[in-house]
Amino acid sequence: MTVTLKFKGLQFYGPITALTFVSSNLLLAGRGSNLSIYDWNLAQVLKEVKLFKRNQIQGIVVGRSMILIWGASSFGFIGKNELLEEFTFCEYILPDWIMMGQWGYDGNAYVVTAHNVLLHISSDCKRVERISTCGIDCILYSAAVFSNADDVCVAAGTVFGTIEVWSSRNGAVISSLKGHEGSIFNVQFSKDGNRLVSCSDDRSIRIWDLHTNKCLAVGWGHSARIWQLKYLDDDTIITTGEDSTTRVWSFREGKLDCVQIWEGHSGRSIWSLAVTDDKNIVSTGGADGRIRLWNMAAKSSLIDRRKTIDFEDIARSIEIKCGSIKQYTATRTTAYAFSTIMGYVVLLDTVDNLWKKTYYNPVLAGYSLLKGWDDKPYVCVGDRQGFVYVIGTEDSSKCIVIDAPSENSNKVMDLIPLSKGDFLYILVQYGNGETPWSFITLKNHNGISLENSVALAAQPTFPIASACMHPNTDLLVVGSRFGALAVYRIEASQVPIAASGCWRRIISEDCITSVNANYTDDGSMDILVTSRNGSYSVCNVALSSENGPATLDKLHLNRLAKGSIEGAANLEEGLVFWGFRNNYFFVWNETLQYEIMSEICGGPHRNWHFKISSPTKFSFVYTKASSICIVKEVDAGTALSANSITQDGTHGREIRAISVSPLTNDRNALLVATGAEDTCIRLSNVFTDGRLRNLGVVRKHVSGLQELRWSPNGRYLFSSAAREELIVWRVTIRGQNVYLYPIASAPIATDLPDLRVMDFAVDETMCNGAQCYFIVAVYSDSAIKVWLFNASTTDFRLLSTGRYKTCCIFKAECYRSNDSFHFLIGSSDGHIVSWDLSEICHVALCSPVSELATKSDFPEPEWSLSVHQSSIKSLMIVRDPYTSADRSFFIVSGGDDNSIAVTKSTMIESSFLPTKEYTVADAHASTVTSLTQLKDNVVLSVAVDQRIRVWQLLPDSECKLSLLDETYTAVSDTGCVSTGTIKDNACTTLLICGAGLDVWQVNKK
Amino acid sequence: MGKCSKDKRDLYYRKAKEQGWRARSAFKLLQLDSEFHLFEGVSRVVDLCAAPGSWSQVLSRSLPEGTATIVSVDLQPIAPLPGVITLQADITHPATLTNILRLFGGEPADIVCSDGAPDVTGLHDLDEYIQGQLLLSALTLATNLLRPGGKFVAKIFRGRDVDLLYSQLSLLFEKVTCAKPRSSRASSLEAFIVCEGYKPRRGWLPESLTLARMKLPLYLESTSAGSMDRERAIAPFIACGDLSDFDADATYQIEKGVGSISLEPVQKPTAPPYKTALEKKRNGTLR
Repeated sequence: MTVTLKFKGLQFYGPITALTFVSSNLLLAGRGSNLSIYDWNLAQVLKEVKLFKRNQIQGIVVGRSMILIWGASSFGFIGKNELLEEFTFCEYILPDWIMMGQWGYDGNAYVVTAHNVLLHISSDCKRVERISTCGIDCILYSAAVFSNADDVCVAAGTVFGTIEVWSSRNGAVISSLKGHEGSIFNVQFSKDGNRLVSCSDDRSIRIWDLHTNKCLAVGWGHSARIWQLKYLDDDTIITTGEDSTTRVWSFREGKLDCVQIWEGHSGRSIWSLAVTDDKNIVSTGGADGRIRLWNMAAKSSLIDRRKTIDFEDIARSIEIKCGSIKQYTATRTTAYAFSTIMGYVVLLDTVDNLWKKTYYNPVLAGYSLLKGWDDKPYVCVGDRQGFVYVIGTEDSSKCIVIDAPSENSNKVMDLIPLSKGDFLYILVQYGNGETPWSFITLKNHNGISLENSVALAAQPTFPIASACMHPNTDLLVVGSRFGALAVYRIEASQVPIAASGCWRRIISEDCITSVNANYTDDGSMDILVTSRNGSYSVCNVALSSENGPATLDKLHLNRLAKGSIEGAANLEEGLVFWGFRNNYFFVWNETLQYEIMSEICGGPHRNWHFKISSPTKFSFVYTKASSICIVKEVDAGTALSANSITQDGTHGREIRAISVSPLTNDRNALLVATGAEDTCIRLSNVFTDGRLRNLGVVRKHVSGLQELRWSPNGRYLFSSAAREELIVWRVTIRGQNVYLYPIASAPIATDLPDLRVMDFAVDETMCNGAQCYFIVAVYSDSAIKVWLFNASTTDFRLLSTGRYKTCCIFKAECYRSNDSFHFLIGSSDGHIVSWDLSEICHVALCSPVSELATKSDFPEPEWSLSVHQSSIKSLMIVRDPYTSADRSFFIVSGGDDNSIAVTKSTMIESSFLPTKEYTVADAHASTVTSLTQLKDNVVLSVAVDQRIRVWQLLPDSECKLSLLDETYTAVSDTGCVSTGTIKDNACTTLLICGAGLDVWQVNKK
Repeated sequence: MGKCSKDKRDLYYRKAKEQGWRARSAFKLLQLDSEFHLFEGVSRVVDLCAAPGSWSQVLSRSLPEGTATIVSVDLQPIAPLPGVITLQADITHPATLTNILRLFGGEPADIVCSDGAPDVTGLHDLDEYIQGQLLLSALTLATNLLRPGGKFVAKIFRGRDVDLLYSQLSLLFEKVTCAKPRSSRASSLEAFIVCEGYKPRRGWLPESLTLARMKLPLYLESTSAGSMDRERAIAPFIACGDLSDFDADATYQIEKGVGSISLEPVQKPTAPPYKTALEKKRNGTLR
């Protein structure tokens, strides 16, 4: 029985190590050994082609008619006009690493090796015309070439922190620039060759004068190493680095200042940087596999359009004594309204830039609250006697005063304007917390008129902070400053209307800054709730009957890791949040994971207002030092602004866990969870063509992920990390959305921050009608804990604790055979140890709840076998394909010792014993980090040597592995692998993770 | 080796401080020695990329006083160690070889070791290449210094091209082993190459190791698929250190009260190149 399989590499999501623009619309990117060609205007990939056999593409430079591409020791050429045609590519190999390539003024190509050797390659790309050296042959981390009719010069950035500029004419060193500390990671000549800019391990940028050999300026700003730099013009430099930022620097009056910071990559390093010839578009490529475009023109014009207005000038221009500003709001799409301490409402129309005194009422002096409808020509004001004024901003004569609910009402504590169709609503809360709230309905049709005002029973200790109306029903959702949520039926008949439900601590006790309700198919609503503590949640609220109480179910919880969240908008382009971090304000696209804008405004303690209708249409107004600042982006209307992500990627750090869900949100794709050293869990879809769609990034763990597993029914996801974190997530699939809510964490027993839950085995079972899970977790201190997790009560019950030795346990697996339950570990001492845990599980299922505290003793192992010399890094159980009963299993393990071992565990009488053992000592050249089963008797191994090997498990009598096939992956530092089959597809999708994600297709030949 | 929260976490780190080692890497050499008996009958030793000096410490403590000459070389200064001659020098510089030979009175070395590694960038291909170059420099010097039958021990990264390295080394030594001490974490790509029985072929020149990279082509010819698959070999793997030794990946519960006491570092850390950037960050002058 021979098996033949066919492998096809579909997509590689890993470090983008090279980027360059060609002609007006093409962007070339190096992704592993593949070249991807994009139309960046359309954000479309036009072509993908594998150029190098093994090496990664690390540089691309465009000449007059040819393109030079290199990586590691490989290089080659492509005709500029051939890019989109069929072309043959010759891979040339040098005996040394290539540090950089460049085209000369004469059309020749220049290549500099890592040992400071310059190769002059003829313009026909066929001959090496000359080889130049300068006598310094230490390792370089960077190089640049400047050429003109006189000379070809090399600037060599050495590992010792000096930059050696030398002439290829005579090999003489012209300048030896000293100043940096640590390796020089990049160096570039200015256009005229008179200056040099460099960056290094010391995190600084230096500009050098090549005539005087003096350092002209030093720029500080990056918080980690700087990898790339480029001149935008003679005095503007752009850099990217390990701190995941792209920065623009201005060299003025002998000073080098960071003038812009862009954030839009995940993880750490941004490896590549390209700029269009007209310098308008910048592209960056990161370790996250993402390619971003940045519109320089739009960024600059945003800065140019920033307005700062001194309020005294306004007061003078409209001839009032208005006093200082109290509050802002937006009204219509072009105007802002301001309330002042003296009782004025002033309007700024940004179309004609005119200030208008809109309303004045001495009653409002000293105390007033102003709010507005972003897109309606009205604002509302509450006063100290409980009156509410609705003021027309286009026609100030259109003003309605709504009486306070009673004569001795308290002041208006807060008011929230809402709207739906032709109606405007105002929710009002009064100073005395017990006074019922008012819900005012206004009709906005041919002018504004009061429809009614109804009383809502106030919730105790519930200062209102946010509210929304459900788009299809009469439900009103209100969020409080203390983290509670209440729901009212506005059309209910009783007076005052009682809340249908009120829930405390939805996320935390921090302010609920916004609520957004969405209709769902079953008539309930999904509410997006944001908290000032930087987290957001999706809750489902359902009303059982007409007047019955509402129930609330938490579907999703996530943290932004940016700062506070002050508001949210669900736009076509993604879910957008805004808030403050330290001294700046940010706007963040959570769906696509990038920052839309940020403004150093001084922090949250000021009056401010933000509104957004698209990522290119927003405005932010705030007070800073008694001036009004307005930052506004108007829709540029270009394709680019909407498509700022040319290529999306994945985690920017090493992926350490992957698991394919048994369920999916899209029948054409797999639903995949990945966990990485960035501490995040990512959910994504993988399509049959290898395309990846990111569904969301979930942040809760505080250290890098160790393991992820879905429950067999797909309704729960389990994740583990350091600090003994073992979290159970409830999975809700709503159309294309997949929500995760952390319903429980395993109790923590120590305060050791390094105590990692290395792995865990999960077994699904039923207990008293409830869905339950046996979770056997293994820890880095050699502990083994058997948990029973009840999914309906979310209770974690510790059944038993064992300890292997004192070494770290890396892997855990379990299997059932008839009625018995067996558990295996792979440990750092190279042993596989097996336990029969049937008794513990049996006792747990039979014992009544009252005996929850009783713990079983951890049994002695069934068997223990030394199979590897050192750590076991991968472990897998394969049901014996050559026998039918559950009486024989193959345990396949991969070690740090390069070997793969097969141990056969067979039922003899009533217990399992290892009956045969076989080891392939040099299965790989390095640590075997992952194993997966492709077919009954076919397993696949992946190692740090970046090789994928396929093995056949030979029948019982031999218990051997025979190598069927092998291939090479572009993923380095491999760590985990998984497979899945997309509905109706005959092929298996293979996912290999490490420093990136490699998607393969496997099918029978 | 500074003073930080790592104290409570890594047992080898803590033990290194308790036993007066300048770095936890001392245990790696001790465990390599327990497996390979590296120091038996040794009288001339060279420690390359030696700073901060923990391997030299192991050498001076393991070799009986007065029986051996130990020379430690690094670009960085190494604080003085009893029984160790320290040289601040570049291992690729020809003068370094002459200096070492002079210190040995013209006699060849019995063992050359190197625990050197570059600051990794995270671009694994590049890191592995740079580490390979560092090893090649150490090996070039070693082949100039070693007596026939001598030993060479160095740190390697077991990445995608480690098998090329094995095949190169096996041309120079009778026995090449890839060893992983228990004090080196399984999660790290690091391992040590232990080369025993130096036996260069007749007419072989140490320069040929570095000359290979200078064999640049004059005509660009597409390399055939066959010649690209240069010779690869897998060195036998040996885990060293006793199973009862501490496990570098494991978490240990330190006795109550002990863990909270922070030990003074044996040797203050050398100044990192980014110390100015750190100061600026601390002063709040960076955003």
